[in-house]
Amino acid sequence: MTETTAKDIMTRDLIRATEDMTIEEALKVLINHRITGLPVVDKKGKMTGVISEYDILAHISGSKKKNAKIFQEKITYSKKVDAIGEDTPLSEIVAEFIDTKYRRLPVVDHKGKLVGIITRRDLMRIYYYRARLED
Amino acid sequence: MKLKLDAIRDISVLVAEGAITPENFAILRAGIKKLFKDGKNKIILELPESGTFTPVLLRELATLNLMAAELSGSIVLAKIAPLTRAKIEAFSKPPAVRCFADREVATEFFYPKVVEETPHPSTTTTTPAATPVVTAPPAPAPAPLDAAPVNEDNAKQFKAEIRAKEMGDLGSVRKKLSDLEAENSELKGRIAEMVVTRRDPPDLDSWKEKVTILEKQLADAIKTAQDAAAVKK
Repeated sequence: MTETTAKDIMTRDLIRATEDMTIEEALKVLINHRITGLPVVDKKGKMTGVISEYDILAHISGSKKKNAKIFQEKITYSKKVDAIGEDTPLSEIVAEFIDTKYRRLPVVDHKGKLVGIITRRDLMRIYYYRARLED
Repeated sequence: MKLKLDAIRDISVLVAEGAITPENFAILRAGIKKLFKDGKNKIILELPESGTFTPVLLRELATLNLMAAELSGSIVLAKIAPLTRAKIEAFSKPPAVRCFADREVATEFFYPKVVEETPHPSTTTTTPAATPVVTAPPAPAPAPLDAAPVNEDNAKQFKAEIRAKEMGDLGSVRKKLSDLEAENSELKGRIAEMVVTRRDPPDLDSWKEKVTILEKQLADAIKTAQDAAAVKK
């Protein structure tokens, strides 16, 4: 039996932010989708970073003006791209989550294009059902 | 049976081509379990050629649905025939599995459409060029029950259509039955007449002819019996 890899378990068709998004847009996506962070991609779909609630809060609190105009400014986000390849085996994915303590890890193809995302919750679900179906 | 896998956000759409026989259901079951093992428990089963489900298979599907529900997932059916859908919905209350007309409606069960919110007063200064372009799909709903009114409306509409069709079918079947009964009654009368005609000759000559025939038959029978007795001796 072939080993489970990231592409088997990742969520495709994912929510993403674009580099030219405003604070208002990013904030609405996070709140309306009840998530705390999302990957940011460029126009070609290549992942360029991650934006979280922390980034937005830091942007707002760091600005001198606290009026409506601030929400029309472009997002500032972490340009650090920690992602896993779509062929990464499950055991390595779990190890990555444990080591980094990340809540979610984007999945990219060999060209660096964002193709999916895996969360801690996804992994818990996998372990639960695998144990359940072995009974 | 051929299985094809699609995805809509975190929903897995399993398209199964072929009738749902016990053998084919084994393939479908294996597909669902594979999805569970990959952590996918929001599943739309698209069954365009489903035909009908036996109670045994439906119970099994309900068990898998319960397993999905253990971690806030669900298995729903899409693109099944209206009559099959009515049978599934009548099988148990609430239905063992939810049924929807197509994939889009089934997706709304998991992620009901969000009504466009009115702009916040703080954003009224936004120029058209800066209008948000959100690439993300609609927000997930707190609970799938939000879709219930829409689905119930659909269900009511389908039930009404099925009822109307059944009533139409029932009317034509009753008319056909009535015609057949009338024809049967007429044929019975004709048979009775023929029996009487055959048994009771119409005139004296015919009576005499019938008696002659019977006498001849009787004579033949007596002769045959006598011959048989002679052979024995």
